[in-house]
Amino acid sequence: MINRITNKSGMALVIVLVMSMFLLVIAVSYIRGNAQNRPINERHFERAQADFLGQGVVQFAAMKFKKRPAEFYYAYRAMRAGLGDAAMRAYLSDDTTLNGEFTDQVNQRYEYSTQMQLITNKLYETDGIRIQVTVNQLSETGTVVLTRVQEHVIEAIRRPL
Amino acid sequence: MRSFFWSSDKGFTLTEIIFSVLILAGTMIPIAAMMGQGFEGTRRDQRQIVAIQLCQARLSQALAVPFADLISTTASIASGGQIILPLGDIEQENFTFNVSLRVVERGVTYSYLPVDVNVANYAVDDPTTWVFGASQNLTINADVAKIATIVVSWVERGTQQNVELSTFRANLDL
Repeated sequence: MINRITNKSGMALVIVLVMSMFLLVIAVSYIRGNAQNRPINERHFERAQADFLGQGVVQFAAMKFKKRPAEFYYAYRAMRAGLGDAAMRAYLSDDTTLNGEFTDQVNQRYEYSTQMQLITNKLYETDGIRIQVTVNQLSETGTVVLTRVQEHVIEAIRRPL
Repeated sequence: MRSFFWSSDKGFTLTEIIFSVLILAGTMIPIAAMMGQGFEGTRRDQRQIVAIQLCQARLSQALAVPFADLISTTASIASGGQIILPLGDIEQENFTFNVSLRVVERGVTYSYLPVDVNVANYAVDDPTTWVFGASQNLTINADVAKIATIVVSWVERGTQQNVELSTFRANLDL
């Protein structure tokens, strides 16, 4: 047993091989860490793209409300009165401008949908329209990879009928 | 005094040292090459992050540009003698990026159900009296909406790289 410990032949090779293994482990962990940088950057880009799309669709919704405010109020009040949501669906879900798809420069697909809600404050006699746009980034198979929501409230003072 | 692990008088032989140095060098050369690639990759990623941030900043500024002034251009957009959207070559973090704006007009189509206000018992404050008609579309094709895209490009080892971010702009003054 003592002979085996005291025999130093080939010790340098063993030490160097252990050191080489250690260096290899460090190098592999460094490269792995580096490889993870790219997906994080891509997600950063996709979040930004989804947010900008959402802001744009909010403008389309604001424009629709500006052009056809009465139809929104009719549809919303009919839905709230329990008379069905057909008019609301026609105003929002079936609208191809407020709901659709966008493909960016690197062929990433985004789908967006819009919701609008009437928010009233009886105390301050104010009305508001809350526009909420949800943007989903889709994978190649169509599953949702990322979801971003943009919200905007159009404030209005209530006028008596 | 001899230690327990170093009880022999023999040191390392020259052959052992030569082999050891060769093995170590053989291990270090690919590791050094990989680390060099890694550093280059990190710098490339850093430039991409800077490009994305620049793209975001310029598109935010583009959203504030009056609708009529939003046109495809590579030169800065000014209003009232002040630059409101800086474009062209921009130096960021010791690197030159070229920023341009691409604008494409688009139309909008809004769908809705109209209410017939001419029916006999129509009352504006009573939803049960409202009669909704067939679905209608409001289509506006011109001067109503644009797709604005900021393109940031730079040259990376002789290859052109691009980052593009797009948004919609509606003419809310229409």
